[in-house]
Amino acid sequence: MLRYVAGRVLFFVPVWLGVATAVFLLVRLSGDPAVAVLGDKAPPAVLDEFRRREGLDRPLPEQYARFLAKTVGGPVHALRGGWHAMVGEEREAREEREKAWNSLGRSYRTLRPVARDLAEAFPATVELTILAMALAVAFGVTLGTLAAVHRNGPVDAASMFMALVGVSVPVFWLALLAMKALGEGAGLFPVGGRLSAGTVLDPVTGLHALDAILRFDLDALADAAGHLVLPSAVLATVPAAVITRMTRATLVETLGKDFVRTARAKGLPARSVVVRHALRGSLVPIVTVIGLHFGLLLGGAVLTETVFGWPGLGKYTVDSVLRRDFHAVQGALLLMATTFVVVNLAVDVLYAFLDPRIREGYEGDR
Amino acid sequence: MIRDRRLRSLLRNRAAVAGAAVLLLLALLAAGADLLASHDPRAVDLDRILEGPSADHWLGTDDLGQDLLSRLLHGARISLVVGAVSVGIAVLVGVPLGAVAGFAGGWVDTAMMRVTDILLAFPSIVLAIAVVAALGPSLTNLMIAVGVVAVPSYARQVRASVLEVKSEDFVTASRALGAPPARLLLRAVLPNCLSPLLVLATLDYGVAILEAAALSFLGLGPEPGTPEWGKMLADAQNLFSRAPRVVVAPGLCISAAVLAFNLLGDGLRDALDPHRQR
Repeated sequence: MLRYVAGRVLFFVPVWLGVATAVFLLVRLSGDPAVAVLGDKAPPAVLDEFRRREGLDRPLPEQYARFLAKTVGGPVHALRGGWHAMVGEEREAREEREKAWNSLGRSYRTLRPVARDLAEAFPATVELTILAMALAVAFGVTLGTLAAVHRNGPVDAASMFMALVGVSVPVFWLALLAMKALGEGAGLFPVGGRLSAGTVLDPVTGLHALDAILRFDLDALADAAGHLVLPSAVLATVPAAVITRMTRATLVETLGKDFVRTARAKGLPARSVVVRHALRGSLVPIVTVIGLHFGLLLGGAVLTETVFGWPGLGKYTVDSVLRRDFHAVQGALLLMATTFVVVNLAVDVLYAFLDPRIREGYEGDR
Repeated sequence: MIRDRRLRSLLRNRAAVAGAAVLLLLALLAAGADLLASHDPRAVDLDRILEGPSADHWLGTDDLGQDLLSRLLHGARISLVVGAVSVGIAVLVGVPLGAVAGFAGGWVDTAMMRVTDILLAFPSIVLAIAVVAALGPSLTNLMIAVGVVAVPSYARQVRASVLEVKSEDFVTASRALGAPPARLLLRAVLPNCLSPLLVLATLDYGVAILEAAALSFLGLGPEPGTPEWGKMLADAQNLFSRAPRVVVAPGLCISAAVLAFNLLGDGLRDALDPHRQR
């Protein structure tokens, strides 16, 4: 078990390096950052000065090495800062933390260190995606189970059709309709941003709903939760649809297996057979889908956040790409892909807990 | 009498037939948009803005007095073409890559699969946004972006099929008879990998339409005024309270087209894979 987990964690290193390289190349391939930031009417001398200051006049391998060193240096400086703070060296701690914040460069749009922007945007997206995934799992597993149990009946047909509609409807359109009709029109939920203008909340974790609970601030909690309802429900549609289909397919297969027949023959109640035996046996593929669709969720978050004005990672990425704010694009893409890789790693490790065959390296029929 | 078992099984699937029918209708409407549309989709008439449905304007007009129905018809043409070109790009690039990786094996395969792993770590819409931002927003670049982003999935799919077919007896026999590798791949292996590819391409056609509409919605598509569904949605988003239909209609069109491709794709998968349990 430990060996398996260690193997997966070790595998993370080359994958992350690949991701970082892809981000580096993508940003360099997408045109001259100097022109993007200063405009094509800027005098050549100014452009050259900009390139020199940003190190863009250096050979590509050197730029790459600097990029990697700075990026990896960020967490290292942060850790050192923490150490200095612990032993009471205030000045050193401050310097190290400053370096950590600046490790991803500065945004030309917000005029702040990219790491600071990301530190604010990331929790907003985490809050949104976790809630959306929870909704999607609750809805998808329930609907998929109902469909599998009542296979080929009207419940099955209806859930499968809903699932198909769920993956076919454009997320940004759904977001727009929800915001205009339920938010602005009917006034059921507040829309735009994460909190209303009058609400003040001192951040602890950056997850506003959680912070409000930690601070015992019921008004802020209601406000934060109200802002979350529509975006998370919209974002949940695609993963809910996919999970519904996957749950049904897996459960239909499991319900035909011998151990389920045995459980039935023992005279166990139908509900217990489905929930305690069959559903548990179907967990691995369902967890796989959930893990795989985390990336889909991040993609959906890009559109959902843009429509709802949700100040998260997705909106930050779009805004940065549109304004060709290259340090910000670099940092945002890197964080997005890193999150995806880390989630996949977590899913791999979770498998091992759920399915002993994987951790024992058993290669038989899965 | 239809002899082919797979086609028969497809035609028995009502959902798939419905999907195919919608697509056929959509294709006809798109092809005949010039004849069917009652108005020029770009004809601005500021005296008749946001009018409700009438005999002249069946679905009413938008905020520039343009005929909504005519714009939707032309939008069908744009979406179907964008989807076709994007899928075409993905097939033309992805299939050879996947085929070579699966057939050659060894380090070529490992290298290519690691690259696709990495590319799949980015949400496809984000990659597409980055590609369009690099190339500059236009309809052509939109199609390139949506197509390129789908390449890794095609490469993986074809590689998986090639690996499976490669070990079959008839391939071994052909190799034993002295067929050169290129011929083996093109004549024996690839033709037997087409079914899953067809399913993927059908489902992906819908995804391509969705992604293209999303990019266009974000302002990374055709120039303003183009009757593209995503663009129409973006332009109409603040008109919802005054005329909901200009926001609802383009979204319904996108959903219907994508749903039709999904229905057909699912039907194809069931028909082409006899082992699948229903």
